[in-house]
Amino acid sequence: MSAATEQPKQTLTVTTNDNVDIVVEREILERSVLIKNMIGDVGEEQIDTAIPLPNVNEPVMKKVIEWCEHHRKDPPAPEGDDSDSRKKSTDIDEWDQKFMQVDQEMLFEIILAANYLDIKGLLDVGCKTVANMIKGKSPDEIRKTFNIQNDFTPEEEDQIRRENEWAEDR
Amino acid sequence: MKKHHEDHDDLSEPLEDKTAALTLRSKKTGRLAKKAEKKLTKHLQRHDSPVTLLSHPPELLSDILSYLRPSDLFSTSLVCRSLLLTVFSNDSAIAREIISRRYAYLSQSLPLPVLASSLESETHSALSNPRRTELLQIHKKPYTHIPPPDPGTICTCLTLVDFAQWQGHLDRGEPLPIIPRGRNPEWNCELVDQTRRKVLLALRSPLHYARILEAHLDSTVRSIRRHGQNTGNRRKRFVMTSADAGSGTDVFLQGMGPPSLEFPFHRDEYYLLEAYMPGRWWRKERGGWVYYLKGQHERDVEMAKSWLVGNKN
Repeated sequence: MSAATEQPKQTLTVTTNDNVDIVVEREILERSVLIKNMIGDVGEEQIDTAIPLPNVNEPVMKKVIEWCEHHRKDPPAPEGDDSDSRKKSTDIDEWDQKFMQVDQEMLFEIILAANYLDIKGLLDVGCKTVANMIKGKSPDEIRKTFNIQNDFTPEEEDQIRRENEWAEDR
Repeated sequence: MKKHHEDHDDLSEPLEDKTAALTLRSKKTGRLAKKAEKKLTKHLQRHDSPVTLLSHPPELLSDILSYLRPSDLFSTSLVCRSLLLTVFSNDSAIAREIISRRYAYLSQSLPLPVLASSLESETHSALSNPRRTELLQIHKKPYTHIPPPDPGTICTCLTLVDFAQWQGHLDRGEPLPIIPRGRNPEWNCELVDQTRRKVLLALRSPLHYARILEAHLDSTVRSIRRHGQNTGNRRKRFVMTSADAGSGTDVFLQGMGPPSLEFPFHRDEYYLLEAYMPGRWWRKERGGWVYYLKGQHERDVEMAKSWLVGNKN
């Protein structure tokens, strides 16, 4: 009976920067503050028009949608100094950890997309994942992890090390 | 009827466009074409080169860095010029984020002393008045383990840094060296000087202050763990799970636990010291801690000023 009375779920179309149209449930897509505001701006009558996303490509958008789908029922991010949210703020839940097991380029693309689409939860998970990749590593190990060239002269490196002598030690 | 069909077929034939494209020749079209080509090349280049950690905009990079522990942040600043610049040009904002995320309770318990150079001259002269400083115990009888606050540099608040230096000894159960009364060996002078340098750095850089809080949280976690393993010690202590200990945040210190009523005036106090969280009281009726060091500096300044006025009259 409930299936018969259930309203069909409203869908929206987004067009990625590689010209691919993706049809997504509105509720999922509205995890993005940018898209939610765009819908609010154009009005309900224009809702059938595809939403252009010039900064996101199809593979990245599909990952973003996957995350939004999993977190569709999450409550909005709490405001103010909430201790539980602070505790969670350094943890990553198991599903998110698995979700973020992607190559570095995809990880950075997801962060950029989350920032552009204004999806705070996804941006936080992305930032924490990168922070965890840095955790406990020496400068040289960080360079290797992210393929970064050391552009300090030995004298400069020595001076910076001396200035922050104790702070780097663990 | 047949004719009609033929006519219909003629009409449905697709129209062939035989017009030739107009050749556009003008300075404006030339400029526009060049601009479009440049834009396309730039777009292709951007999408050809892989996105790396350093290709993030600075504000996003700062967001990422603010999830690090202060010690990891210092390591990151040594990776390359670009990261060094990102860390130290946004140090206040990054430190603020780190402190509110990781050390919200410790920072209320161990507030940063105020740098004398940031005080108004009237306030500075009131606080550093020799007659007033003479009356203060901390200037009369300096401790052996921490440097006395220099009234010319900082105000009269004290910060504990020395405790962190002895965690290795305490973990291993090694006795802390005893300094005979009236002596001050060279190693202690060096250690006290290190403490002074750390506090001075923290006064100038909020990241160093965050680093001190990280070190103190580490000391606290190690102390609670040590005392917890001592089955003979049945004193009340903070509830700390292994997840709490590994979280790198002070959230578990908001729970009920023993108050830090006494200042560890000597290194001997370190053996029994667990969670040193001064400046707060447990309020039973509120079921939580009340932090009273907030505004302490301002109260100190007011008292010093009125004391000075009273003595002039």
